[in-house]
Amino acid sequence: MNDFGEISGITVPFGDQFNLYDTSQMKSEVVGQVKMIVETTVYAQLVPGVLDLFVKASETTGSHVELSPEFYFCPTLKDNLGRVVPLYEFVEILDELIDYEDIKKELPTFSFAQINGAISFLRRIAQFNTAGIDIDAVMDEDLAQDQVFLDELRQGLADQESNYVLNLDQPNR
Amino acid sequence: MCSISINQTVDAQLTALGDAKKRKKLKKRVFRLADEAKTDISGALDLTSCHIKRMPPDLREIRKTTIGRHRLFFTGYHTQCRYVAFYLKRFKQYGVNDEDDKAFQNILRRALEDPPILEFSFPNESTNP
Repeated sequence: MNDFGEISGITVPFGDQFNLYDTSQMKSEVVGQVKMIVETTVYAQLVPGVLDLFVKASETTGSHVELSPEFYFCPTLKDNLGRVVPLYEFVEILDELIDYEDIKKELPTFSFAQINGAISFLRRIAQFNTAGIDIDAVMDEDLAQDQVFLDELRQGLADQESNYVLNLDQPNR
Repeated sequence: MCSISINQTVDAQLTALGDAKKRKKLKKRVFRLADEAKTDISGALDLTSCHIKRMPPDLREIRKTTIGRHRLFFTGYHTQCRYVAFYLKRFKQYGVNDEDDKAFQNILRRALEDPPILEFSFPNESTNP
């Protein structure tokens, strides 16, 4: 038997990777590959349109937000010293400065989760790039490999004795 | 209504933020996000985006939420109706103790070092971004 089989143009590995009697495993692998192809194709089709929208948005707002090929067109800003600040970090600063309670006063029928979701959405959009890099995933990976930081997390996790429940009715808590 | 607890570590890290107003705002936000969740209704702290990939086995259950540039690490789910925040990673401020922050460039550079899972080429089209 060949090491590989062809199903509708998709190369499916056989042999060691599959128990040939376990068709459910094979099906799930095929479904996974098809899903990935569809997602990648849709991404490839959408990117030029989104990029065009971003370029126009930048141009009509003074070109302060830059879309540079150097950063795979991920929106960035440049400070007066020439340092690059990605737009998603700028959104994080906005998120840090605003008070959700103020937004809720203006939009009382919205939940805090919705407000948080809307701002998180803007942040994610600001992470757009043509290389398909999931910036959050890369940052997570960074954290997961930082042994000093992981040790600090473990220490924090072990510190359970002094827990107190946050309560807005108590001014100090 | 679910609750969120913080430990001494987070308390100290919040204090280190300096500004009492900022500290209170941050506390209020996590309180509200936890408070909206119920045992049968998930909240903002239960989103899949809170999961951290590729953590070592002993830290696999921990999650994090983004609050501005800070990252708050916590455990617990709405089904338990209790979250516990145990570590706050404060942001590194621009222009403070940094020469020329290359973190963003490094993210892009390193991410591209991983070989792509699938490669596509389109006839008569440039593959360059």
